Amino acid sequence: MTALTLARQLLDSTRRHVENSTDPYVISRFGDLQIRVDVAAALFERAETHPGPVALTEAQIAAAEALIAASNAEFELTGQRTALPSSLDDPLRTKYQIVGNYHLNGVL
Amino acid sequence: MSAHPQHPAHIIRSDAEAIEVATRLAKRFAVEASARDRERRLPVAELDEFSASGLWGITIPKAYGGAGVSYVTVAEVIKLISAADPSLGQIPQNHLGVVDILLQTATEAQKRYYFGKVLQGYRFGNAFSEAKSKNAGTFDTQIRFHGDTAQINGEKFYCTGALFAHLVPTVGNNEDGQAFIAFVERDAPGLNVIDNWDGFGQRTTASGGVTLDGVSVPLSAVIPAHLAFDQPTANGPISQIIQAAVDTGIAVGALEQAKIYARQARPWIDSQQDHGWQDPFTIAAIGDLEWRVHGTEAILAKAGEAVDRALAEPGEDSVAHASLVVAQAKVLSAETALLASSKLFELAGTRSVTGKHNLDRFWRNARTHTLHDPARWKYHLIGNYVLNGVKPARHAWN
Repeated sequence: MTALTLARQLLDSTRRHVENSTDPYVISRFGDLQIRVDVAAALFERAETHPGPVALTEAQIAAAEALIAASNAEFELTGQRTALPSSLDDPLRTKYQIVGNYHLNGVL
Repeated sequence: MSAHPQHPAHIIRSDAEAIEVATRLAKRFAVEASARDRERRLPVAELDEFSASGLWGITIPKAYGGAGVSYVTVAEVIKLISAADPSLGQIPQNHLGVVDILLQTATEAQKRYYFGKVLQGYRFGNAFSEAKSKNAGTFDTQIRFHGDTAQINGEKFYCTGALFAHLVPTVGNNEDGQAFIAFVERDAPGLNVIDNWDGFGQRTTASGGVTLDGVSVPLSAVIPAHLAFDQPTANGPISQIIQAAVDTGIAVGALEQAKIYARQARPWIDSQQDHGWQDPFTIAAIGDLEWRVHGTEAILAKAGEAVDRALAEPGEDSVAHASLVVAQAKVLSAETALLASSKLFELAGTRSVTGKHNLDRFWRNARTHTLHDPARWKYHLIGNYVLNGVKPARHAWN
């Protein structure tokens, strides 16, 4: 399962937990999370046609950050945390370097 | 400022031409953007060039002689200009909003008349907001109808563009509290535009005051603007997407400078590198800014598509959807503009704060322009739809 799909699932299950909330802080928190998921989806779509060699990596960063945000919200709002898949074979921290080195230095 | 443009404007024919013209103008506007900011030198000649280029008429529908470009294109045009000089990007924001209010609420004769003027190069300013009314959506300015004329009395502020306008669309309420817009000639008796904008950012927008003292206009110069929100129309999202495009432009401009200066920065002593651009933390920080700026641009384009759908098929759902996507663009553009314009200094080092570079203009502009309406309520707007299915309120700020 991709990070973005999992982020959406976590949001869905967390949403059911707090459905019809009138708490302005819970409401705005969900607005924030929705943006993180949607921006990742928009970047994956962009990567399909964008000629830049790191466009897909940028989308992967957005999705990973959306997943972390969704997982934190799940824990905060439900007291539970769904286990996330291991990212050891594809570490997030190296992706910022890949994207940055291309845009700053033209190095791939 | 005369009530007429000096030269007729070029008429742009397509989306591609609009982008091409904006790209060319942005290059020219970038050259003295910093000097204009530093000296608070109002961009009078630049605005003449901007409106004469035809870019102020691109949203006029084809049926009225314009190009009727998509709002994806409008957002891109404003972003390109704002990356060079966000004051110039901001000045047409109300003009473009007014073109749409005309489309939504004016009579056929008024549309033909005012769209014709815009295609000739006439610029609309605005006298909408008031600094002293209860909140952004309330107006103490009065419009009263007597026979075939209307009288307007009141005091306005944040009147971006009014100083440079040929016509000043002015909002006033009738006895029943309904908002109307009167198109007041720039040199009309009783209209006084005050050049008193002293904000620390967006310094050359001349977003100061306007007073209206017994200003009289014929009824043919008045439109029932409240209809644009009584019914679902794209006007709120149109107003907002231009705001988001200005802030996206600031983010793009700031990131561009961040890379230029980060490349020149000295290497930090502990990095044991020969050049600043080899610093692994600098590289990662640029990577973080890049995806955020590209994500903001991608959502801005999606917002443009949503606005186009709301324009083509106005209804409760299409307008709510446009407001939601535009709100995402607002949040992201505000976040990214503030982040990029601050990180710029972190990555470029202490020498970048030297006054001669004037790099603080990016942050000053981002901080100032993103205050137009608070992003914190946009998270709430989106969340309230996601969680509770509540559609956004319809007004000029959603």
